[in-house]
Amino acid sequence: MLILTRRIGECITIGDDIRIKLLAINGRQVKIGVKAPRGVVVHREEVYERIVEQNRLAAQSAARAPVLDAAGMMRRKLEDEPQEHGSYEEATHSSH
Amino acid sequence: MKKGRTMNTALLGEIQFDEDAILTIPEGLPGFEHYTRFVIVTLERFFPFQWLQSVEDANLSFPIIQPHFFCADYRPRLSPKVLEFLRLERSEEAEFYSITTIGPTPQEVTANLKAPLVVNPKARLGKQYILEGNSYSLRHPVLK
Repeated sequence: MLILTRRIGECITIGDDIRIKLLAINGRQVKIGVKAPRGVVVHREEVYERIVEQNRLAAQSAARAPVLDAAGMMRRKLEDEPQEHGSYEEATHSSH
Repeated sequence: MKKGRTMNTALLGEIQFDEDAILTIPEGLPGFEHYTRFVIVTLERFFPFQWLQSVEDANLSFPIIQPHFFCADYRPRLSPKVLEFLRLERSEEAEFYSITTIGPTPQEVTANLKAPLVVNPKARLGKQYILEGNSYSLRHPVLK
């Protein structure tokens, strides 16, 4: 890993179009600005990792029977409160 | 003329769809970046759940649900960058889907409201967009 020391207000550049600026330090927190082209996705690592984990769980949990059970329960719940879900009827019939 | 396709999926059996129903997610989903082409399969017996089925891998599918079925006031704000990426003028034109995790019992069915799948229905373009802030949960119980 490349390790660089920077002062507040100084930058690091990666390639031609990614710029990382150290904005402020407050105790154990560091504020960083990232300038990157549109296609580059920038996230706090832990948030992204949790999304990855949820997506993996969703793909693994895709089994018919539990989804059918959940769908049945959900429909009963929606029937009890139909006025809040105007698109219920409409959505039932929309299929590809 | 529409070009029809048939696919034998692991979970849903044989499904049929038109080429122009294919939803392109150019970045893929986090953790599944290599899969960029999907169809949203609507089957009455699963309503209100739907399936995000990969057309590149018959074994890959995600249960999804539109958040308004369990979270009536869910109206996340999209950044101008995301609107541009999805070729949308306004947030109101977008469709939102939550990727759903099905636990061992129906009570443990949770939806990811923190990172909805945002779709431009006209352009058939999508992105799983991570919302800023802490207002929405990654594991919102659907049946509560």
